[in-house]
Amino acid sequence: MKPGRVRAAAVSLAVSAAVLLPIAGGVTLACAGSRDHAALVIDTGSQSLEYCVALTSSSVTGMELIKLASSQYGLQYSLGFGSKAVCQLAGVGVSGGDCFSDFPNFWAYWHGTGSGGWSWASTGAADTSVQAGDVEGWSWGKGTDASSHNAPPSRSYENVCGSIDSDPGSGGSGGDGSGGSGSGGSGSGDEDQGAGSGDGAGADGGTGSSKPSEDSTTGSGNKENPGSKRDPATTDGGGTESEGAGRTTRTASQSGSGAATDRLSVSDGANESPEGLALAAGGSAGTPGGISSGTVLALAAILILAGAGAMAARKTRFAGRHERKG
Amino acid sequence: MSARGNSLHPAAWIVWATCAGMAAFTTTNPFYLGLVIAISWFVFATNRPDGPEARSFRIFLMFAAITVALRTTLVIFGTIDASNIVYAALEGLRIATLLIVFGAFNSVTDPFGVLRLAPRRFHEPALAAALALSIAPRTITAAGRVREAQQLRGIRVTGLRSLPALAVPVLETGMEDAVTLAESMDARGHGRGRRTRYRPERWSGAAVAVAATAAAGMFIYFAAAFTERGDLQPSTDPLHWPQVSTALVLAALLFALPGIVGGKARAP
Repeated sequence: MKPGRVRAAAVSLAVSAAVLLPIAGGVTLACAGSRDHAALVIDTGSQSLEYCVALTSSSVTGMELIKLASSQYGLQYSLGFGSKAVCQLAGVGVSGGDCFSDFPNFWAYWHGTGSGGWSWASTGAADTSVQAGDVEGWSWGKGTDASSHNAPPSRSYENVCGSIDSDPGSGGSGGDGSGGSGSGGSGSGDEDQGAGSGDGAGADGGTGSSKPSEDSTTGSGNKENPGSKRDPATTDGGGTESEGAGRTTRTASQSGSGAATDRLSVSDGANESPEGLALAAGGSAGTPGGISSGTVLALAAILILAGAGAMAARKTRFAGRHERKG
Repeated sequence: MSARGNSLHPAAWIVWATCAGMAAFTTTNPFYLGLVIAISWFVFATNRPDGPEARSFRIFLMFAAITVALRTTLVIFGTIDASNIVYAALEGLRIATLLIVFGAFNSVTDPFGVLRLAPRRFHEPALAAALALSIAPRTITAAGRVREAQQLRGIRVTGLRSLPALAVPVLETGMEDAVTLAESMDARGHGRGRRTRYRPERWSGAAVAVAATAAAGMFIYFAAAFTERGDLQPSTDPLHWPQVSTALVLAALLFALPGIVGGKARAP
């Protein structure tokens, strides 16, 4: 062949290689199952919940994983100590900001070992780094180390996320699909609930695992799935449940479920112990998104005191001025 | 020393300030803390004497505001989001409340009246404490005098640049005043081992009521803290308005009693 043709052939070969190889490589990687999700397993003692959470960056903290699960599946959560500790998950735990006020019960933090086992986390969730393919676990109960505290049910990443990664095209159905409603934290009265408008698909475990990737409807933002709504008979050992107007209220079942001290559940941002303590919440139970009587009383008292003080101060200031200089 | 006298026994004020401070320390709920701050302002305004002691309360208010600002800016050392900022601000608010309670106490009491309560054995540390307590009003008085002197000499007294020229004379005056004060107190019998009990303060009914209600208020807050009620430590993540217990609001109002029964001193 003539030198010119050889050169031309080499150049075109190189160019096509440069163009095609990345595509081929990408296809290859996709076929191997690129992962952009992490698994979150939560054992409240009376039920077990699992979420296949789509990660928004290559690495998130354990706390951010919980918040992502909340925005994607409506998981209820409440953090304390400046977002450094977990107080409540899925309605189980401690109200307020002192996550260990129900000690010896607390939320234990585990890392999945990959084969379904669990290892006790050595640092708090705000300091850990969760990457694609990781499994995170939380369990409510007693015991200050791995040998004494109950671990979540044995789960691997494949158990929770299933075939989500093998077909990149459908990865969107289970993982993201943040159900339109219910983001984790906002200023309104509903944020503790997580999913304001009756999103039940991801959040209920019943007796076993829920696989949102299989159940969810694709395309639309609505995660409503009547099939897997909470079934009062199976959720926890004796709790009753009522739903209305986008609020799901669950009264605590203290006796039914053994280990879990289901302290309280959440409705419209008011954390209230069902024992009906007068001190607990100045009548905030009734009004969704409204202001409780205690709050009104406090604000009124503050204004009255400030005004009375100002009036008293003005009186003495005038009196003082006259006597100041001799 | 000022000739003011407060109609309430100084020990009653100590009980009031301690109990209010302890109650405030149990909580980071902004409603309860705001209430205690408003009450401190109310108590101060209805009991304050004329003179520099009144202005020292403003200094404490300023320190309180600085505390909140400082504590909030510490958030930059970690993740910055709304929840963390609010958490830091509430922690700062708790300390600010303690400062304001103490500021009210300092402004309405005569430090040397408080000093007379100390047992003989603790007289010298108590004397040091009384001098420390009075440093705010004394410094304010000294600053006022120095300012006036500077004005008379045509030295600039306004603006930030005048502050350094103010500092040295105020410090000097402060030292001189302290020495003079110590000598005069010594002459009056405050020196070691030579104290008298002339005209002891009496516990009036109002003083007893103030002490009793303050103690009751504190114990109610302790009970709430012990039994985890009243949302004393609200969670800031997810961000939401904390709950407010009516019972705890009423308990806080107990600390307002000195504002109603105290009143400024009438000459005995």
